[in-house]
Amino acid sequence: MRVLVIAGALGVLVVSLLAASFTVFDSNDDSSAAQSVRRVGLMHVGTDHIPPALEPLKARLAELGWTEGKNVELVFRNLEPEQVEEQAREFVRERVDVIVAFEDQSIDAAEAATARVQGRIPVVFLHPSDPLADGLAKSLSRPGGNLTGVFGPRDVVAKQLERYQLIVPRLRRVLTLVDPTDPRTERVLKEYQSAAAQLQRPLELDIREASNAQDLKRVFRSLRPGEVDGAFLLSNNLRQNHSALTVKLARDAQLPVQGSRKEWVQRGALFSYGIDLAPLGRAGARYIDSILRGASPADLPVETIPRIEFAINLKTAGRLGIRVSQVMIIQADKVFR
Amino acid sequence: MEPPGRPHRRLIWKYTAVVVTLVAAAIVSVGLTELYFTYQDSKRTLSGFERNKASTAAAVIEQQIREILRELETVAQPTVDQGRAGLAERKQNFHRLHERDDSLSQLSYLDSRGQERVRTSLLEIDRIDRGIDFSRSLEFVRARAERRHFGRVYFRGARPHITISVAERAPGRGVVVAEIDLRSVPQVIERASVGTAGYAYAVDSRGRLITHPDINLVLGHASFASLPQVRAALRGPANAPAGAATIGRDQDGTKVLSAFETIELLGWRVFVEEPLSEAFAPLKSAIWRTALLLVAFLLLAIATSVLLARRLVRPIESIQAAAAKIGSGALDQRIEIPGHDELGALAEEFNRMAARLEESYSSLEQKVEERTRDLATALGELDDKSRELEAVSRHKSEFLANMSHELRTPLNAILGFSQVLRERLFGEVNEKQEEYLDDILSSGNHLLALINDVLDLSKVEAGQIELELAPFSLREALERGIVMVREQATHDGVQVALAAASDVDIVTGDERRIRQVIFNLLSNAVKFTPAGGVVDVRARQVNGEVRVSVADTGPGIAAEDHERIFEEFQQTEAGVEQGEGTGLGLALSKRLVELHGGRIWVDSEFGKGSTFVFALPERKA
Repeated sequence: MRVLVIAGALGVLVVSLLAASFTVFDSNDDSSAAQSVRRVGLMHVGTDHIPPALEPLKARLAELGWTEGKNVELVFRNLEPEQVEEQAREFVRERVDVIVAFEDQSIDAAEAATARVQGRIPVVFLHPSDPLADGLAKSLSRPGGNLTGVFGPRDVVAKQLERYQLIVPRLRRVLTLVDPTDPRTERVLKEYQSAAAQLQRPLELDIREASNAQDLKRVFRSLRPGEVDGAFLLSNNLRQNHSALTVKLARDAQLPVQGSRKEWVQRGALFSYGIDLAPLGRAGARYIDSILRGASPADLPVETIPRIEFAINLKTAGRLGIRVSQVMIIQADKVFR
Repeated sequence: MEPPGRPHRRLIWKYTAVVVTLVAAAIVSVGLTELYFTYQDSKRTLSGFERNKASTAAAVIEQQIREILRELETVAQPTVDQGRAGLAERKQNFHRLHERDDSLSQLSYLDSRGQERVRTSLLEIDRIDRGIDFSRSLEFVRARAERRHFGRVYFRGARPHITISVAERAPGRGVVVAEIDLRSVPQVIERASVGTAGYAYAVDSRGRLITHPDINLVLGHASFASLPQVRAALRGPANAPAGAATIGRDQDGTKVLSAFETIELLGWRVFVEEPLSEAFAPLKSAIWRTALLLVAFLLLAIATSVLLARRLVRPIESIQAAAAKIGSGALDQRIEIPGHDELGALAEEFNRMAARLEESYSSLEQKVEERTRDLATALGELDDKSRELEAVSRHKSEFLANMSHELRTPLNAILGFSQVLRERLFGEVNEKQEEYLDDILSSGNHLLALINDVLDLSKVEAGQIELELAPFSLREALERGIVMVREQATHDGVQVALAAASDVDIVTGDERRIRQVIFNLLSNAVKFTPAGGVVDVRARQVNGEVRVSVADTGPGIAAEDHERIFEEFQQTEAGVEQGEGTGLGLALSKRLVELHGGRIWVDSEFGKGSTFVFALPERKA
């Protein structure tokens, strides 16, 4: 009897082993990032818009296995310029896992806030003006600090000016708006002035200072008719915070104005020539993912997105009586009619 | 003794070992063969697959580069106008090219002296006659010499860029230089990856990474020149046909199955790789399958062999147990084994043997019983007889004792009165009377001696003699014995000598009886020794007993008489001829010596004299 029981048990074992031997061993275990919920603090200055890179960033993060509310918490703060430093400090106090800074002011604030504490919180920057010139990274291939991220050629001002002239052949004198409080103004202004002089038909520049909405309104109010042929928003701070206002002021003044990116063109700027921001968000998500999985920002090389987009608004052009050449329309990546 | 379970277990293990070895050998050999062929097949298939992917990617990239080359060649033509208008025309051409293909991030025209005349760019403003001299630059010199030149790969962001320069078609002698964003290269290469863990990458002719799924490696300017497969690939010429996949390592040292193809135009290599662990995952499951089959069949084999062994061993065990029981006497033991195989036959044979053994054993018992009964009867009879004999013997002794006593009383009267008459107390007797009186006396004395001996003997036999043990001097006893026979000896001309060892003196015994023995032996010796003979008496200690020997030079005693002479009324022929003696002396002496716990014997040969020896154990006082 006992023998029968043993034989039976052995039989069952053998059958199950045989069955197991024909099942596929699937070692493809999906080891998703972490059990605990990680916190990512995202900062952007410019309350008149949501950064276009935000949605692609979230989408890409989800693709990489970071689901909002499940294993990651994304704290997005859209800020006025005067709030940015306090917000950066708050993120540091809360000890978020990563700070994502969308533009120069946020980047500067995050750098300053994290520099003070031990065990510096990693900062992923998107869209800095120039990470090397601004000292964010030691080199693009080895940042070496707690900051790394994506870099696109934001300030191709020379090319923008050239393009401006090609679109608006009557352009002679350009109202150039600069913010003296923006530390990057000097650098970009120099390049801008040099380009204006190098053009085949050199442009005259009417450079006016403005640091806030009141300044801008005052400048536009002070313009005499025919004094300038177009407006150019040069300082990054102004572009970041007052693009919407400038577009409106220019329209009221019957002047064309360039936009920093295609979203402003859609809202009435004549054209934009610059980086497409959506890929920045996707690229930035890769850094967040790597850092949350334990990579050090010092070892993550800075990625450059060189893709330039040219957008043009024919409605604005028509309203201002500008005949845009067919060549320009063909060259445009985005045409708003 | 071995425990009873041991042979069982041993047999089981032997069976198991044989079966398991056979099964394991079969499965392992089949499994290994299957694995080998699966491995070869997988490798061949994967190798072909990877190579195809690499070749396709390389071909696509090469096609793209050729397309760019073709485009550049369309703008590398002399303009009709050699002046400003010509330059404007070139600029327009360049713009058209930018529009058509925005991967061309910068275009410039260098005239026959290497001076930059026109430059257009996506990021910077167009320039005409900047006045920069490129006459010594590689792109100018090489393009002029070889019609076209591919510069080194450099990176802007994550993207490989390359400078391509094309010489102007004759009669122009200028060069068109283009900076090209090779952004499609990563996409093409990425599409070449295989499997889930597989990937593809490209390196330039120096092994520097052009594109890789890990963008950080590219951005960090990693070089793969040290990886074995890359090193081997770069060693070969650019137009070498792609070989079979090899086993290489990735940057982390993980083994990969790697195939590559060369982009001939640029000298780049496209690698398609898959970690071995994934590439041979089917092989892994085959190994698992084989291992599990092995385990399963081993278990089956073990179970089968154990069951088989039990079936085989159990009958043997019961035969063994039965044999052991029969060995210890249980002859009615039988073995019951079902089945008509060899073991059944063995059991039957065994049972038959046990039955026969039992049969013969029981008949034997019966016989023994009968004989025992017979023997008991016989013993009973014998017992009765011996009791009767004992009674008879006792009656005889009693009779003899009484008889002797009764005989001695009248004999004493005869001897006494004969003595009185002989000594003439009642008057003179004549010669004749005296002679008869002497005869009466002598015969009477002989009779008296006879009667005394008989009396003594019967007393011994009846157990009426009791020894009076006391220490006495054996030497003295011997001397007195000699004195008693001396007169007779002198008369017969026989010499009697005594030699007693110095350590022979006091012994314990019944002195009167020992002297009787000594006298007996001495008088026999003197009696049978012819004139001029010698009787030699010796006494000595031998092995803890005292031996007294009396040697004569008489006629000797035949060996066959040595025992007989110690029996009652037995005499040698010489003794009978002598006509003297009762035939009781030696018998009595024997009894007396034996009563002392000693022995008596004779050493003699017929015609060579006799030596009578008696030995007394030394008694502790």
